[in-house]
Amino acid sequence: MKNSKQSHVGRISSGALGALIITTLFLSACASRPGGIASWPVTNAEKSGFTGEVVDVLCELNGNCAENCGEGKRQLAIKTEDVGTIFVAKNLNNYSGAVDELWQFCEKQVEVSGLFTENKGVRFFQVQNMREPGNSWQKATRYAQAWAERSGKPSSLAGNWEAHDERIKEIIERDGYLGLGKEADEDYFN
Amino acid sequence: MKSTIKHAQQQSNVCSEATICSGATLASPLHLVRKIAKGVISACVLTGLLSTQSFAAGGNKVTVTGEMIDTWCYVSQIMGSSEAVTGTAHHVCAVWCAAGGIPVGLLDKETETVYMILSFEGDDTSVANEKILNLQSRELTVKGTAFELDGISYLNIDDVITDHGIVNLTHEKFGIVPGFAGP
Repeated sequence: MKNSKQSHVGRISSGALGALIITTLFLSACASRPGGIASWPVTNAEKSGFTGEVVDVLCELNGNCAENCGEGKRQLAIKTEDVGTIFVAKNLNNYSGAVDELWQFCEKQVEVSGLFTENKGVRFFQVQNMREPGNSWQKATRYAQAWAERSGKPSSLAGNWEAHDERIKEIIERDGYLGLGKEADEDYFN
Repeated sequence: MKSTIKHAQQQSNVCSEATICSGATLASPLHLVRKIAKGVISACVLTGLLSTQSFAAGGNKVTVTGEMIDTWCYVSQIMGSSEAVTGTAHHVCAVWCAAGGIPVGLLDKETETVYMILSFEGDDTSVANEKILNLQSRELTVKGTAFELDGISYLNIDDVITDHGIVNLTHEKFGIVPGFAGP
């Protein structure tokens, strides 16, 4: 009876240990694997991942450097050891660039995954997932929250921020949807 | 690069201090004054050359005429062909993307080079710069400094010589691109 009890406890312990090992392996696999790279219908799309240093392009080009890579005001790139400086033009939010994703990692190493697109003599990168080496992967969607904070609008509007952005509203109000003025809009759209 | 700036600034300070010194009337023999003056002039010229070389490495002074474009849509063609995502057809989307911090480009009318704009009339803000935002889709003739780094062309716009306005009437051929960017 005692032996049977001991064997039962032993089985439970082994099971728990096994589950713990599997969970640990699963979690570590999740932490080290890049988040899924979404397919976007872009020209010459190439899914890719790489590690490099976040750099301020202007600083790289002519030594005109700013504190913290301009804190969101300057275009940024990722400088890799093997393929040089990769210009990062886009993130995962609608109609937004990558600078809000990257600037807080100025001069630090980041690991990123996403898409290259190439056309008309230009090849640049859309960052979709990123992390500091060893940390958890994050989706490159920081822009939406940053927009809400900057604009003072509720974050519930950030999903289609472009429809609620006062700068954009002002330009459309002044220049119309074609950019040619209200009269041209009326002629074309009515 | 940061150390280059600091070094150049230090050189510049030394030069200006030395220049002030050379202007003083010294009670020393004339030839000594001449020697000091020569040394100061040489140091200034050398410093000037070094500074110019440090800051303008790889940059070329250019005059470019072209359209201010949304580079993501133009390169990726995610909304339509590159031709359809320029001009009036794509004006609103180009404003959205510029406001969202996507790099704005100047599409050279002659060479079709896409220059990523990094500074505008002395302002180094190249993300959602309000002046740039208000120039989307317009054709400009600009003077500036062009750079190339690992296959990408960049441009610091010093002066807008002529603003030709929005002249690329692509809506006549393509309608509004994307279709939901209209009223």
